Amino acid sequence: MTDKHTKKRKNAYTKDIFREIRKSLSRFLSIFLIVALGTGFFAGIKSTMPDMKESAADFFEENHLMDIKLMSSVGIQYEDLQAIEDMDGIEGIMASYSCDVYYNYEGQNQVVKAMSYDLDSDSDSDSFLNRPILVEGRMPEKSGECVVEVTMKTPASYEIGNTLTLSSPSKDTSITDIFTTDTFEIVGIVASPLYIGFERDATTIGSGSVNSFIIIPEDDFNLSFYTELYIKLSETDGMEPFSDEYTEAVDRWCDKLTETFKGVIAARVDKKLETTQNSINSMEKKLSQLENMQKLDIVGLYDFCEALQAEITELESKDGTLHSIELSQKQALLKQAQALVLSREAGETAADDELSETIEKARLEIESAKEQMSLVSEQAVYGFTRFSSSDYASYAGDSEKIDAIAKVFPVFFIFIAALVCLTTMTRMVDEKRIEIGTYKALGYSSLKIISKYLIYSTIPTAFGSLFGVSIGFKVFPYIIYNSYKILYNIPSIDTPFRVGYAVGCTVCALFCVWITVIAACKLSLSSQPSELMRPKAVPPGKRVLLEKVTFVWKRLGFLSKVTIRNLLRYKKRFAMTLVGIAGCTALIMTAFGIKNSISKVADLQFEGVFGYDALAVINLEEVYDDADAEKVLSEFEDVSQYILMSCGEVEVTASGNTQPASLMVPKNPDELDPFIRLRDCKTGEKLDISDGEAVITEKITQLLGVSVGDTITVQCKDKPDVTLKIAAISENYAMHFVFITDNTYRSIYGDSPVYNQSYLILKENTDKTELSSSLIEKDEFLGIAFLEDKAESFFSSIESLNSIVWLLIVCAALLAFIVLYNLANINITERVREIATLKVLGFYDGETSAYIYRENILTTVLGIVLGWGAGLVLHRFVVLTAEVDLVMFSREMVWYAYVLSALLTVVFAVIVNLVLHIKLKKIDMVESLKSIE
Amino acid sequence: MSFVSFENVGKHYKMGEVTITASDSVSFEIEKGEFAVIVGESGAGKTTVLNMLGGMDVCDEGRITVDGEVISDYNAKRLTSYRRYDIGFVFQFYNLVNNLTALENVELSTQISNDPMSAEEVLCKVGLEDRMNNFPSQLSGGEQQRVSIARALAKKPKLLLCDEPTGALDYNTGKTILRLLQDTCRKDGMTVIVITHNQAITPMADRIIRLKNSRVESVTVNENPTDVSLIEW
Repeated sequence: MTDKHTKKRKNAYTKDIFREIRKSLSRFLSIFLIVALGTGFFAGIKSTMPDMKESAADFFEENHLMDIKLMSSVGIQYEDLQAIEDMDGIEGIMASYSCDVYYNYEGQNQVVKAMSYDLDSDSDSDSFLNRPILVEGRMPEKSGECVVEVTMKTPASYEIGNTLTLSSPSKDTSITDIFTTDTFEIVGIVASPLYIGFERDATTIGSGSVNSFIIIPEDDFNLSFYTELYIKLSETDGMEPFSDEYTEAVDRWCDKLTETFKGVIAARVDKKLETTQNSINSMEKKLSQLENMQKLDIVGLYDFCEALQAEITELESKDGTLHSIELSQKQALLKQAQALVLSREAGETAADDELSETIEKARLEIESAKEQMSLVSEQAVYGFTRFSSSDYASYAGDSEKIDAIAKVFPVFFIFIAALVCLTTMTRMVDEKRIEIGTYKALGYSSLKIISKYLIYSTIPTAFGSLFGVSIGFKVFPYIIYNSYKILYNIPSIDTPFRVGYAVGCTVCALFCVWITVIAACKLSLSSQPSELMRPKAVPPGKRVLLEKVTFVWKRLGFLSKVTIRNLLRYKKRFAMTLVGIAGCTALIMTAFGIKNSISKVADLQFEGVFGYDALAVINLEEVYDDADAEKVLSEFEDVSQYILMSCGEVEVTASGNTQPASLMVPKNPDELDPFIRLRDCKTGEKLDISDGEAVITEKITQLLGVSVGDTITVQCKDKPDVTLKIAAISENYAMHFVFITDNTYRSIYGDSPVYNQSYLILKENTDKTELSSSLIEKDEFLGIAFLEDKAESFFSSIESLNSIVWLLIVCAALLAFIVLYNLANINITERVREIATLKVLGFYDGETSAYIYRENILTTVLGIVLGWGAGLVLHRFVVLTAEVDLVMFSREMVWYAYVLSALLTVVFAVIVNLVLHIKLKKIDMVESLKSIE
Repeated sequence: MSFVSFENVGKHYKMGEVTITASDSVSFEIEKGEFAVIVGESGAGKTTVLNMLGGMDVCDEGRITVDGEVISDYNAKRLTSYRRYDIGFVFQFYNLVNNLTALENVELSTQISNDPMSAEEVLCKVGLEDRMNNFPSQLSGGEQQRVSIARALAKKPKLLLCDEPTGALDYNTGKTILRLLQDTCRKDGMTVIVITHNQAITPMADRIIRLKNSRVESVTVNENPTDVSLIEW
């Protein structure tokens, strides 16, 4: 065969296929769309995790995020930095200052973490780490300028052009001891790679947590030592920042560096201790000389002066430079002795007084030097990695959760896509049976015949898959990430086209479709050509089980009868539609269900569990007696009820799992109820805290795997570990709490709890601003936080979930459209004759449509019911997978999710049926007169 | 006035530039209770006449009246009602709904008519009392055509329109079907119009309308119709 010949044949072949496509556009589109939807959904969700991780990795890389942070209790000096810098494997190292200070905003002291920024930073330097990302404005250029971050909880006054006035958190130090100035003009808004989430560092001042950071020029710090040492390793270059490889490397390095750092600090401290000890020694020597001198009478003094003079002369005769210090000390002493002599001879006491003052001063000096030494000698060093930030760790965890969700959906979509392809291709092969028979009769091989259908199906599948993944890659990560933006502030997500996934999806889709094509062709190909050229024997009508129930069956019209028989006759189609509709309903139900489950947390927690209106933080530096704080509170008219609470952060351990929680000790456990309502998580009964036992919140018991009667170990910083028995588990949705009585606290820790918070119930119409500013004026209180504000910010963050709801609804709609349209289309083409006959028999348009609709309606109804079941399962799965440790979503399905999912499914079905109605109207009655093909 | 009348009925189809005339001033009349046969070669315009008479298509010119009603003036909705209540249609390929039994196929028609006969009764009448609960696929061609006739008769139509009723049947079966149609006409006084290309069956008709090239070639009234059993083809 010549090349030319082959080419010609190929052309005819492709022409045939393209004509086939043009002739059967709706069939072509069915396959194209279902494949696009399936692959798009899968590829989109699947690529979200790598997109999120890679975007974060790029973000860290670009902004030179540190690998390890070192801190010490004695600060960091430049020589420490040099010592670490000399080690192998250090790519960059940067020392910086930071200090937590107050910024008074609307009467509340916000804790602000001021961080230093080297104005001469060289962007080419590997040692310029944790580079701030400028969002707006510019970086500081001179003293007195700052840049701030803007998040949901930062004060509204954080705007370029405004000036921040900072104040010292401690009464003993002034703000100008820390900074060279107390006012900073905001010149820009930045983000920092150090904080990818909304968690800011803990602090020892104010409310206990930092509100936001600000960045000021390094030279504006007055501190005598650096506070942090940031290190970037060369080994971690190119490692994925959330990988095990990276974790292992930084952990190893962190241990190594901390050890080295400890040595460096110890050496420096030792050196310092030595000099301090030396100076103490000399001071003590001087002191004893002075004390001796004080005791001498006038004669003794003369002798003392003479002896000194002699020593001085001797020293002077030696090499002067070596003993100059000793010499000058002796000369000073001589001077003092001489002055004492003169003064006493004159009968005055001035010199004596001066001497005793000097002695006293020297004593104090020695004491403070000794104290300093004892402090310094207890130096501690700390090493941190990026994983020390819980946001960093949970970012990887959250993206992996999406990946887990990505594992369920594809199963479903592949199933439905395969069903759609199977029914569509079966129909196509049925329509072409005469053609297939003719080819067979002409002696074409089965492979040759089947290849036409394989090629035909390959085109929409391949294009559908590419189209689907291209859209999926863009849309899904973007929308999912945007709703995660309430938790993370990595500025943007890259959504690259992932060739590997695209090829994988396409190959899988093609495989699926080819298998269905082969399955569809198999029957036709195994038949004899003569058999194929005769019209296909119509599947015989069959009696269905329902007919046995004669009293029901008799009542059914022929429309119902034919509907039921048809549904059961075409089981594949019925299954396809049922699964499609059920999937549509389940998706919508899940979407609404998830939204409700998450938003309900706010209601349940802020209105159900929490009954208080505000939380005031007690200033423990001012309040030594609980009664003081209570007295202040009772003076406020707006405060109708209050309770003091000791709230401390603890780690709770049981069966090898550890979770953070708050240990809550109400001052009067019996009065806790209106403030925090403890209810049994199963029965809803009111719970009392009894002595010796703990009431613990629901989610942490699930995480720890404990139940009533088990014991938990509570670790509190600076306190011994204690074990508590769980008396009851209380309903709670956000954060974890362990409640005990004050008696229990005393018996386990041996001292009384320190009440650091007060929960308030306010009168209605309380002016919040006024209350907070007058409360903050009292020394006894540091600040006040209103529950309403907290709940509000929670609600606003839930708004962003809407985009996910929409995404799921659009996918569900597409699914319903494709499946229903496909079914109806096959139904119509297959039953044109029947429909035309009905028209000839005098069926009105509405009746004719209803004849076909019945099947759609019945399948839709059954599909919805099935979808509710599937939706419940899917919703539960997604809720459990997406839940973060600190929060418990409501697992209940809300009633309106049932209604809306059914309603929307019906709407989609109605739209498809309307389109069909038009199609049905166009069927010509003459079709009924034609011979059977 | 005759029961059925066509007066200069014309029908033209536009196929791009060319206009094809399917009916060219066709005129004929059929009396009530007559057994009429419209006969012609393929392409003579039989189907067009059938379509217009059966209310499946409208004419472009002329007037069609059935039982005093001018159906050529009807709109689509009224034409549907006309088909529903006045016309019994018998198809060449029976056009039964495969998923319904014989009885249910007849009910398909009775459930939408005003004053139908009982479906069982009609089926007995066409001789299918034992096959009522069988599906079309379990019936022979002749039996299926009987169901089709029963379906048409059950609604008590004014006209029974039969499109090549024997076309898909063998000789003997075809004859029994024709006998059934003739009996229906003679015994019940039903007006039966059979459209066929088969010249052989014309002797059994009361009136023979011959079509050729979209026109009426001749209308013959047969005073002494032959009994079906005597016809051979």
